[in-house]
Amino acid sequence: MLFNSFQYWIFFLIVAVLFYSMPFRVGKLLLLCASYVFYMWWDPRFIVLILTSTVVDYFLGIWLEVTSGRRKKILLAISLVVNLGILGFFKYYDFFAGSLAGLLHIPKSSVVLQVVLPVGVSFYTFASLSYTLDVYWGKMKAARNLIDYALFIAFFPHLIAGPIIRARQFISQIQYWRRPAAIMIQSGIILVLSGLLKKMVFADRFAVVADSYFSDPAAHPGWLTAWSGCLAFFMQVFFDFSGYTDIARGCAKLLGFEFPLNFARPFLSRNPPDLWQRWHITLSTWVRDYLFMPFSRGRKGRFVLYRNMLVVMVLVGLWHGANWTFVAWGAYHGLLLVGYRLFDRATVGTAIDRVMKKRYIVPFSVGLMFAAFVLSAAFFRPKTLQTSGYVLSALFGFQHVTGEFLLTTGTIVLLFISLFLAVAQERNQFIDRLALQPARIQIPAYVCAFLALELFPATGPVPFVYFQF
Amino acid sequence: MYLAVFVGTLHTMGAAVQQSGADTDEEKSSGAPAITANPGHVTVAGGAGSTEISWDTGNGSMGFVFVTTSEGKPALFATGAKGSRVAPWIRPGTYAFELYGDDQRRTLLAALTVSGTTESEASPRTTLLRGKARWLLIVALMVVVYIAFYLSSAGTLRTTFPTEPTTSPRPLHVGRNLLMGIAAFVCLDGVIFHTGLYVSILAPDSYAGRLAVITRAEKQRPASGLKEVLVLGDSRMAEGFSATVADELGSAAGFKFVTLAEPASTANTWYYMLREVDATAQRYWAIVVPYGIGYEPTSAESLRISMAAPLLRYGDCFTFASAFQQWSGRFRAVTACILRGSAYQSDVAHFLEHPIARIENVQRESAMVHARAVYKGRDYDMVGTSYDATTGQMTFPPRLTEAQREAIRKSLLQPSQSEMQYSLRLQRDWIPRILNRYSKSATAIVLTPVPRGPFAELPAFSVGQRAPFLEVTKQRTVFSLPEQTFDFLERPDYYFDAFHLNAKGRQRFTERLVNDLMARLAAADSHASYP
Repeated sequence: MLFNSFQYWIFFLIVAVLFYSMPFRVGKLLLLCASYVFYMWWDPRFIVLILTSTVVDYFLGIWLEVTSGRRKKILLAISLVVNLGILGFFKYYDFFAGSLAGLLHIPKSSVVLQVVLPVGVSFYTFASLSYTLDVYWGKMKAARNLIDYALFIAFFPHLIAGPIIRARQFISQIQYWRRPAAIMIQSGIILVLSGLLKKMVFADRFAVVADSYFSDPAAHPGWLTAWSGCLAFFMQVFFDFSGYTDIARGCAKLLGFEFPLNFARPFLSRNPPDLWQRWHITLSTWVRDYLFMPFSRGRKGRFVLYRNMLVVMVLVGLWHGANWTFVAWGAYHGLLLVGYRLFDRATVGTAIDRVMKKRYIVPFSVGLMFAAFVLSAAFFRPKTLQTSGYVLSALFGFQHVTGEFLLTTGTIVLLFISLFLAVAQERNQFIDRLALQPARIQIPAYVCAFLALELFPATGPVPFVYFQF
Repeated sequence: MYLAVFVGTLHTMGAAVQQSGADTDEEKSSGAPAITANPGHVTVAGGAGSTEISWDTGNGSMGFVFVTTSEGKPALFATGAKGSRVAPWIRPGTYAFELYGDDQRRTLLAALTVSGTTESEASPRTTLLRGKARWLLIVALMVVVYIAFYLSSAGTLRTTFPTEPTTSPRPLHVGRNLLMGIAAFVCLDGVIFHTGLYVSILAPDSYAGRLAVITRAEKQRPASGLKEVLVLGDSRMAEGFSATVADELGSAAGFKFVTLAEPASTANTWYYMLREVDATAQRYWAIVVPYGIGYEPTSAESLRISMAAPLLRYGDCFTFASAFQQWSGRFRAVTACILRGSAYQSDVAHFLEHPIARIENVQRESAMVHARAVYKGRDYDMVGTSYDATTGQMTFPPRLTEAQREAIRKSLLQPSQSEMQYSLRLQRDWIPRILNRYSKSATAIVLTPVPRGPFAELPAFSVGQRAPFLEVTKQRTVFSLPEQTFDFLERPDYYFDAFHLNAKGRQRFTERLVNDLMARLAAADSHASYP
């Protein structure tokens, strides 16, 4: 049941109508059931994993709150083992077993189990982990209502591909739920439309270009081809994932819940740290709060800091998928972060630093960061490091061929439309503020959105990219 | 009867029009189809080189030249029976140019490969100018991007990003605005797509465009004052029936023949075409409706929706949707009836990318109608071709080109039982609707079988042409020609593939149909009066 399918919207309409027609204490049970139905639509077998994770962490959370010392650590360890065990087995077993078999020259087929990846496992595992860690650190009280906790884990708008929500943000919303105000509904509608446009009109069109290149990069030599293919791919990923997030946030708002922001015009980033404040924000803040900070706290020395930064980014890469290409992608971004830190540290207070902060230089920083990010598609999309190497050699012009510019007129127009909208949103929340605009602006905006959805979607519902993670 | 996927659109393509040598009857050459490039090996200097592609289908039928670049995606390069066109964008690499007999790339007639290699010579002046213009455009775009980034970067680096507003200074009218937005959208869609506004600029070489063009031409055609007989049908009738030949035979008896047979059309499309061209149900003396074997792939649902779209009305939602097997198809059919634009998605995108080329194509609409009228059929046959259904082995006579053999091979792919059943179901559902429409009219409806093919013994071609409309033929104005009427045509010398009659078959089929038709109508005429 894809967000961009008619089926989903029928489902959502039924759930919303029923939800608002009953008292909230019954309504939240309905939302939970609907969420399980939504999940089982993909593959009913894996509901067992969610239920296991939910029940284990719910009871562990209560025990964590009332215990202390060594026992508390054991309880936390149990939670980590269960959650990371599920994630590790289903997502990484084949990868590590296969890699080990390769090292030991054992036939892969003898160790690989062809495990099927449960959809959304990376997202709900992280949500669940954040809960037990917060309770362990005393940042929040344990949930005392199993329904509330189960709904936090399984709430269907975020279940499959995030945003990764935190228990302390969400459970309190369940406890103090109120019928959403008109502005919230209005924002929800705008977010849903914006998400559908991003997915169906933008992402799926860039996908055609990206697929044509990455289906066989060797058949498309040349630096121009490689850059345009990589650019199309990251445009596809951005619009696909941020479109999904918008729809998820919009649906949550329509049901009276708030999800955190996940994207904030990442292609306007000026440097690597800025990028990670804008791209997949809920993941980057999660790894910051639950990985980087705990491991860096109390440790001195820049080397340790940089090492941790690198390790965390490699883990972020690995979170995206069990493949060495994702490890390389994470390492590449880790090196960008470390490199930028070193550069920043070396130039702080100097003339270079002052020039870099000049407003007329900023566009060059943005352009450079954008290029650095697009370059990382060479690791993100290919299935093997060998292909990544080929794409990189093309990007750096080692093939001595110019190649074709793959972007069509239509996709170039979309690029400039998105640039205009991003700048307008960055400057004065142009899109968000549509919710406050009078009818003479809102109605034409609706008409334009509906027309674009009617006339320019790719054929048929195309799955979201981040579902595979 | 979705047979266009096999052969397609030969005579209808008036898009005959894009090439420099638009054909006339006299100019038509006969012989093997050919495609050539001059030069075949392009030296690329200054970014791109050029070559002139010339093609000829050999028999005056419509041809489609596709080019496959290194991207691997074939794109339509030119259309027409014969002509030449310059490809000025040859870059280092290879380009496959293929001449097809249909726009679905089923019937390959001829092919060639053009290769481009770099050379370090100084660029010609035109190339230099073009290169300069391109760089100028790139610089302009970079400036726009720079300004955009500049405008977005006011102030210090942001570390927090505000979310949507949570309060409003004034009351909001969420539901009202949304409903008004939806209403305005539906109205706008209606104005653009339900009126003739957009239909008039549909790509004339698309299925929907062709259907719109021929329907419009027929609607606007003044009455001839003769006994007008309209022939409907899919690609088999389009290939098999010649209105010109029929007029030669029937004019003495006061008959005038008109054909709206169109590849890929189905019985439901015919119903809507009739409603469009004959609003009063009194215009024609007789209407010929074919029935019999055929098949309808489910994958062609989108095509059928977009094809019928120019003829649909708001009120057709449920009847039109009932013609589809899958719920997704029914949903899209309902949507297309209400929001017509949804049926023209690819057409609109193409129009926005190439508006000038589209307008030029639309302006050549009359040439397309003319090309359709003068089409004579294919001049090769399948004599000497044999097919063993159990082993799949085929043997061909030496005179057939590889492209023609490939087309025959493809046409012999056996459709599934469900696809054939679906085709029959469409006929059973929609031909009675046509009959009902004329139940109170004096217009005679003539149900005619069509010859099954040169391999009628094959399972897919030997389904009995049971007249599924036996009951309705009891109506005074409905006739059914005997099922065996065209059995004599089921021979390889009358076909150019497994389904479609060639020029010789076209002549014989038309003669027999017209003679039988006139005899039946004359017999009926003695008992009744017609308009």
